[in-house]
Amino acid sequence: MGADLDGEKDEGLAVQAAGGDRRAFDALVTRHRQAVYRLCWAATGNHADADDAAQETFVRVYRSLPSYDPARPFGPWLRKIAWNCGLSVRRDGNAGVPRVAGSDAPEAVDPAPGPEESAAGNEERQRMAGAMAALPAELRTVMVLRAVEGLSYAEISLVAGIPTGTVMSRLSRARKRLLDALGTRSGGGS
Amino acid sequence: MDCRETQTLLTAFHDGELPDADRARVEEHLRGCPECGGLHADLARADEAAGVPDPGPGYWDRFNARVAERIEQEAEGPGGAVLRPKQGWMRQQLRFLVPAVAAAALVLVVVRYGGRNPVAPTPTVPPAVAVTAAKKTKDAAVARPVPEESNRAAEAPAAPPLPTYRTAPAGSPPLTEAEPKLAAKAESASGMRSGKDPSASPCEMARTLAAQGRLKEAESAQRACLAQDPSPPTQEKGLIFLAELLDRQARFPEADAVLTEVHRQFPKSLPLDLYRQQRPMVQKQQMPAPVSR
Repeated sequence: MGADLDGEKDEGLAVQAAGGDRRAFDALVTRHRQAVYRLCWAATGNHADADDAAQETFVRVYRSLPSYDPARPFGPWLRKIAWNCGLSVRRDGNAGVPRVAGSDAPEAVDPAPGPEESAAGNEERQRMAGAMAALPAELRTVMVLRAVEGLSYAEISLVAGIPTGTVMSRLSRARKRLLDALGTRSGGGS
Repeated sequence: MDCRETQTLLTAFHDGELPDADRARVEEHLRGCPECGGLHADLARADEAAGVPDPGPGYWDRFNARVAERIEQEAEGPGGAVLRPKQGWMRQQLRFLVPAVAAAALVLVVVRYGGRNPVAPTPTVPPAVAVTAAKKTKDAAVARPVPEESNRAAEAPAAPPLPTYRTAPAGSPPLTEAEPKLAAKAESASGMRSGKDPSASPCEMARTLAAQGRLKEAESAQRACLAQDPSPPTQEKGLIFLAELLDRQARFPEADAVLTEVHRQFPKSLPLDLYRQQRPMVQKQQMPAPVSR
C-alpha cells in the first residue's frame, strides 16, 4: 500500500477506486483481506473455499464500487459481500443447512508461535482449532465475528442477517460447544 | 441479583452489550459468587479458542495479484464489460469521443447532401445513389458510428455497432460450440454456480462429503469428478483437491504422486504453489472425528 494512501479512509479509497484508481483498490484489498478471509473461513470452514470466497469478494467489490455510496461506512458493506460470497461457495444441495466443518481447519491460531512454546501448547492449540472448525457454520461465524473481529451484536446482526437476540443465543451455544469439545467447562450453565 | 439472573445476562455482560445499570449489578454478583465467576471465565476461555488459521505470509504476498488477475480474466471473458469501472479511463474517453465522431459525420453528410437546400428534400439524388454516396462519405470520414439523423436523411444502412469493451478470448472457439458434450459436463461439474442441482455433480459431492469429514467417499467422488471433466481448470484444481483428501487421510505418498502429476501437467500452477504452502497444516490435521448434529 502506498504510504500516501495509508491515512486515507476506506470510503475515500472506495471513491478513488470507483474512478479507476487501481492503487486505491489495491490499498483496500490489502487493508481488509485478512478480515475478509477470516469471515469467509468462518462461513466455509476450510481454506480452499475460504480462499475462493475471499477472492470472489474482492471481485464483487470491484464490480460494485460504482454503486457504492460513500456516505455509508465501507466496512459493513464489505463484510456483507464477503458473507454472501462465503455462503454461495458453501451452498450445496442442502442450501441453508450449515455444513459441518471439514478437517482442513486451523492448525494454529497464531501461525508463528514463540520458540518457548511447548509441545503441549501446540497440542492444545490444535485441539482448540479443531473444535472451532467442527462448529456448525452458523455458530462458527458469530464466534469469529465476535471473538476475533470484535464486532458488536448489532454489527453481527447486520452481516449475518439475523436478529441480535439470535446473535446472542448462537454465541452462547457456540461457547458451550467449544468448552465441551475442549473439556474445560467449569460446570453449571448459563 | 441471584445466580439465575446473572447467568441469563452473562453472555451479554461478557460481550459488553449490557446497559450500565445491569452491568454494575452483574459485576457486584460476580465479586461474591465463585460459581458464576467460573462461568464467566469459561466464556473467556471459549473466546481464546475462537481462532482462524492464518494462511501465512506467502499466501498474503500473492493475494492482491491473484485478485487483480481474476478481475482481468473476468473482464475479458463473456459478460466481462460489467467488471470495468464505469468511470474508468476508456469509458471517460469514449464518452467524449463517440459524440464527437458522430457530430463530425453529421456535419459531413449535411454539408454534402443537405446543405444546399436545408428546407426542401433533394429530389435529384435517388435513394440508391444516396446510399452509395453515404458509404463513400463514411469511408472518407472514418466515422463508423453514423448518427441516426444522418442515416434518415441519406437512407444509409444502419451504423455499425459502437465499439464494446468486451474482448472475446482469442484462440479456440467457445466451449459450448466446440464441444457440446464437454460443455455439458463442465456445466454439470459447476452446478453450484449455474444453479443446477449440484447433487448430480460428483465435484460438488466431493466437496460436501469432505466438509462432512467423509474423506474416503469424498475421494471416490473426486476421482469421478476428474474422470468426468477433462478440462484443464478442473483437472488442475481437482487433482490438488484429491491430493488434499489423501493428505487428510495420511496417505502422503499417494498425495505426493498426485501433486507430481499436477506439476507435470501444469508446471506453473499457482494453486499448486498455494497448496504446497498449506500442506504441512493439512497433513497435521488429518482426520478429525466427524461431529454429530
